Amino acid sequence: MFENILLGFSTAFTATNLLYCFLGVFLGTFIGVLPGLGSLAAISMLLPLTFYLEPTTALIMLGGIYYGGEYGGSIASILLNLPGTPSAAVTCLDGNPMAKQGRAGVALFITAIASFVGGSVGIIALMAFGPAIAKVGLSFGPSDYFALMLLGLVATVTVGGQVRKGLIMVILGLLLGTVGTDVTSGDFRYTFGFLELRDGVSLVGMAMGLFGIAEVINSIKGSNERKVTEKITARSMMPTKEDMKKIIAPMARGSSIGGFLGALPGAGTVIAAFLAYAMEVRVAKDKTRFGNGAIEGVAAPESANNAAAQTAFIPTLTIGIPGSATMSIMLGALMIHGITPGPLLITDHPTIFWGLIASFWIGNVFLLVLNIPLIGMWVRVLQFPYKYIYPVVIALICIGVFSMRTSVFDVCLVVIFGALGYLLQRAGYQAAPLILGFVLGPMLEENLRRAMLMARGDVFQLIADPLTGSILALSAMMLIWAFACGLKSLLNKRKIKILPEGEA
Amino acid sequence: MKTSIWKKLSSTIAAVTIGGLAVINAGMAIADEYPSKPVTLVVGFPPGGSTDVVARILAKSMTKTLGQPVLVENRAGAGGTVGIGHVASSAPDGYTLGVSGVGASILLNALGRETGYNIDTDLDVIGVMGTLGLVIAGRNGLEPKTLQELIKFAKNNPGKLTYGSSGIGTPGHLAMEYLKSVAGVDLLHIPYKGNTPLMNDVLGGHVDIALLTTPGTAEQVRAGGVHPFAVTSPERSSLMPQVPTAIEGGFDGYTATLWNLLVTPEGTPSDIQMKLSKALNSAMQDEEVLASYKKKGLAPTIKTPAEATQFLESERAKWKKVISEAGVQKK
Repeated sequence: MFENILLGFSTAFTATNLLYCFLGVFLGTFIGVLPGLGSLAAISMLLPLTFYLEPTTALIMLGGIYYGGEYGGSIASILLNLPGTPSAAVTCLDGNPMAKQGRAGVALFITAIASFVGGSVGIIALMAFGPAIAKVGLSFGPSDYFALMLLGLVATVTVGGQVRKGLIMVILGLLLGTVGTDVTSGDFRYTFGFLELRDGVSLVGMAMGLFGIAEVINSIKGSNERKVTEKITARSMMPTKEDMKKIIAPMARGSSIGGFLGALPGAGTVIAAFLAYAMEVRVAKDKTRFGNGAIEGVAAPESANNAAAQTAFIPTLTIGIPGSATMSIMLGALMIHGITPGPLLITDHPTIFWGLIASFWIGNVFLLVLNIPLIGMWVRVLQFPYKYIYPVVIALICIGVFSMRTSVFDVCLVVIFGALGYLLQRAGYQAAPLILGFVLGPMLEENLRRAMLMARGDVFQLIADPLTGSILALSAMMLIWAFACGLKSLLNKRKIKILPEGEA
Repeated sequence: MKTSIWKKLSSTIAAVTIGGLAVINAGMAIADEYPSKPVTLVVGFPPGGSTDVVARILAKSMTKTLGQPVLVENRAGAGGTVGIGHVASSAPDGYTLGVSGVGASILLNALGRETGYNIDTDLDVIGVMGTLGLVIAGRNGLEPKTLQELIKFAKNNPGKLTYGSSGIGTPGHLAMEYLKSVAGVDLLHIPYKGNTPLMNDVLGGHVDIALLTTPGTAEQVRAGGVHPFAVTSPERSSLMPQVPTAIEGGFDGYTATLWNLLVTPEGTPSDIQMKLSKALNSAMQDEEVLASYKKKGLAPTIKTPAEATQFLESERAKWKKVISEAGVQKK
């Protein structure tokens, strides 16, 4: 183990690898910040370049872009309510209110810390238990994934606040998720003859429309409301001691949720961030603070998505199963060099595996060192008049979405979802639960139907599986708990209403 | 409202102008000068996938021969048909090429799917970009160890075994249905969304057998994660020489290979076609390409445009027969 770590650092600490690691995280952060241009687009564009690099160096750079992008994605969420990447959509919920309260610097500082903590937890998990975690991940079958997705759905919709509106949005997301080719039957659903819709609605296009374009349209009306006079002092950027105390537990919870879900090839960073947020709302005593700039609402999802970004390398590198599109490209970079990823990668090419992991540490430190001084610069972005920022934002979104599949159709989707997003925002509905429903829905359906096929239509066989059964029971308990709480508060409200009359 | 009409109008004008320029450009493309600018190679799948990797390996070699960069452009969607549809509607000037796999060239069409193009009338076939066999593999812990034992086991336990595929209408699905019909066994089909989740569930023991792609499976076999029964290529795979072919396993004539065709829009000047064919076939003899092909279990192919078109014909006849004999429902 110790030998391996040494080997890793000796690989990662060469001048070339350090340079490409820095280049990767630097590029990743900036691309993450730019709405629409995610790490996926950036990695696809840079893939041809890796032809000319050593495979380890290539992976170090691409990896840096990936986790750097996860970090950068939240910067625009906080400052402009525009998630740079879909997994940063959750960070909008409390990060942007913090910025509106003049605490943008604090939110960014906390993002940097939480990302670092989450990333570090993920790397430790990857180093210490990588292959073991991968085995656990393999034991998750379709029925277990179904139960897990259901748990995610239940956990997020039963979370306090505006349950009814949240539920409507989740359902809308689930419905949008049904568009495309049905995996089980091969039939096209709601594709209206568009070839482009056969693979479903593009997640990035939808997220950029609902958040980005909607926010831009919204600001046209209220451009005068904005306060531009925020004083930026070093102190205003630093979280207070109390803030730091408050985020320790959320970071721990977020990192563990993210670390676990990231390692499952069928889950991903979006779900990790949402669940970490839901968890915080659940354990908080005062639930009304969420959505109004709760610091935990930034720390938890940020540590979760960065932990997930690191543990996503577990199935990718230890068994050769990439968990996401970005991970497949990483494996593609290896394949171009004639290395077929699989369970023997670690033994056959220890320098690649351990060098990459060591570079994650270095990259995360780079990110921290790079980003804390940059906070002041980012906050100043807020002082730019919107009339300059927003045209750039729209252009970037269009370029980013177009570059994903070289598709004009997806750009049109952005416009449609932008209009929808604006209407929803005016009506007081939040887009984040819609994204969650959209991401979870297809996986929920696909896995349920696959599990039912395998069980030959026997529901009881599904429930009888110990892992599936216990996850399902957990969801059931959550639902019952939520109903009980709802009933209790309803009764309390009635009492209050009735009491004065009785007294009168 | 007014602005939107103006926008439409202006974009139409722009499109017409660009289109017009493209036509003029096409007219001027004389084979002597060709290629005088970078050539785009359209891949209908996302970067990093097996088709993309093949395209990039060949693009690198063709860049050397053509003297102009061959740039891979990913237009993913609808089983590769979005990308090929784009090629079909591009100018036939030799600057837009496509990589058309089994699905986009034959299967989707044979299954009655609308693809938006007809490979015979909208595209010219330049050559074959190599072939790749599949592996009939099973999860660990399955009782049978050879293909014959597997079939016997399936016969004794009808409907008990499950097989996974990377989707409805994929070669892995159809070839498995074909095996079912020739062997007379009943297996339950579990479709997945792509090869990755399928591999995951075979490794995790959630699905019993599957037709998996060679290079990735060879690694899993080496690590003991899955058990190989047979390869579906006509000859044994260089990556797993110990695994017999399905033909050796008693299924005479049973082959299923993946391949990619290099295609251009219909009407590409024949001298340009010849230049491209030469570049592709010299890539197939390039040491570097051969080395990476070997590592991926790909068999290089050298075919003239006419031979490649014939290859397409024979493959189509074969897969159509598979579809009708296996009784796969058309959509």
